[in-house]
Amino acid sequence: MIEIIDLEKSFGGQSVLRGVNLKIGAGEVTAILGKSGGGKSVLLKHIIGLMKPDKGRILINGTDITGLGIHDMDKVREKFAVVFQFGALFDSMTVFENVAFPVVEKKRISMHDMSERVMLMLEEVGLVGMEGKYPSEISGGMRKRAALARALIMEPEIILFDEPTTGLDPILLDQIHSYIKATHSKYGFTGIVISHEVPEIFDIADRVAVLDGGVIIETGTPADIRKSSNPVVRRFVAPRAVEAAS
Amino acid sequence: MGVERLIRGMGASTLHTVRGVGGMSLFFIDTVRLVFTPPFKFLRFIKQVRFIGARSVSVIVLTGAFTGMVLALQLFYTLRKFGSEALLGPAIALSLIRELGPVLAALMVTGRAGSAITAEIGIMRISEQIDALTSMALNPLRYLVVPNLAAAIVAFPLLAAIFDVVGIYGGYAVAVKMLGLSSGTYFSQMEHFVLMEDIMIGVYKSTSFGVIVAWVCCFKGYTTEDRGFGAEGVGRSTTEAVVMSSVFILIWDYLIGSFFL
Repeated sequence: MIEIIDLEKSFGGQSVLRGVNLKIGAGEVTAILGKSGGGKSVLLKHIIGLMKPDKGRILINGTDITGLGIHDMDKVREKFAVVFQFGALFDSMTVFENVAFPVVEKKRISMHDMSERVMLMLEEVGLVGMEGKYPSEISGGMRKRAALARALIMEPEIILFDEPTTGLDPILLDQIHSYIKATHSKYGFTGIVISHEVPEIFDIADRVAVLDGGVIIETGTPADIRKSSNPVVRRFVAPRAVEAAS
Repeated sequence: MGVERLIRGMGASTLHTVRGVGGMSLFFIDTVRLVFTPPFKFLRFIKQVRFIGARSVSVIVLTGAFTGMVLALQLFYTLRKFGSEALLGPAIALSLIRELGPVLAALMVTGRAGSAITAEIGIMRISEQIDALTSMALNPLRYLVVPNLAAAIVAFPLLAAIFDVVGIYGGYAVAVKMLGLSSGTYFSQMEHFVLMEDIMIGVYKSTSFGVIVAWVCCFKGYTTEDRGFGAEGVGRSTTEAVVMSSVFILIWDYLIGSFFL
């Protein structure tokens, strides 16, 4: 369970988050929608402890992470995995080495077991045959799938997705969403997906939160959000939903 | 209004400088602490010794040879005016071992390996690879900075030693083969004048230059986002790293040189 309470953050006098309040239930996939540059990624970086808020609290299973030192924060991070916007794969390592990296660093298992586990993950995201390639040798969609495999390999409780489909064509977008959906069903992680892919994101989200002007202006199920009477939410959601429905 | 703006500007500039110095100092303290704390990234350390050390050998040999040759040429004409050509060997050796070897080797390695280290870490910063390490509860300093610092401490004195030896033989080629000095005079006087103390000064200098270059170049790469975004930020960081390392090398060379004189 993740609870964000009155979270505020400014950069050089410019307020990005102005009191974000949000509850994310265990095992749910919550999509956070909002305009580009609206503070979605900043919010995500606060949840993983990469940024410290000016004010407010973030509770992960009841523990306030905003005041934690590096050592304690690392213990909390053991529960997390992040799929970054452009994958953030280590470009000096092959796909295999990238996916194996968290296991090599964190677990004491044999090479054989590790190799088996990596290949299983690559199979789940459809990357068998690509394990020897470097990130620069594969497509954007494959990089994102490799990043998903790297996130999944430690079977984390919580996975944060920072715009996992940005820059992909509709076919690849659907493919990545279906991988997220399938792996969520299998592993049951709590997912937070930062996105502005409407209405596609509604297919994988259990709940949706809309971030605007540095605050969460609406939360609910995808159906609730579609029916919202809030003019900002409607402007964000309705034209595309209508277009998709037609 | 003008005075107020001036005071504001001075205040902002002072705060910026203090913050920068503080940030660099904390970065260094954290890195040094991690050098002595397991787990050690031994393979990464070996890889960086190869990158900073072995791959710099060709440029060190080339610059070392020409430095020794030009020293021989210039010192020969100077010493001849005093009738002291016999001291050419020790003059070249002392200049190289105490001063030019460590300084020029460090400057060459800064240009070759230091800039590449800054660019690599800078690109990792802007492509969120460093955030990825942090999000995996792995300390990026341990992976990216500590191996570079340890490798530089090992590689810089060795490169300076190669520079010195090649420089001395470069000087030999000019002094003996071109200018007609006897081979015995060149080396025997050298053995007489160059002491272990002189060699150790060169070792201390090059070791400390290694620390400076690794520290500055890693810090500039690590904080690339402070200097702008994307490729422009990385370019600026790389330039700043090379300039700052070179200036620090020369200033530290004077300070340590005056201490050991």
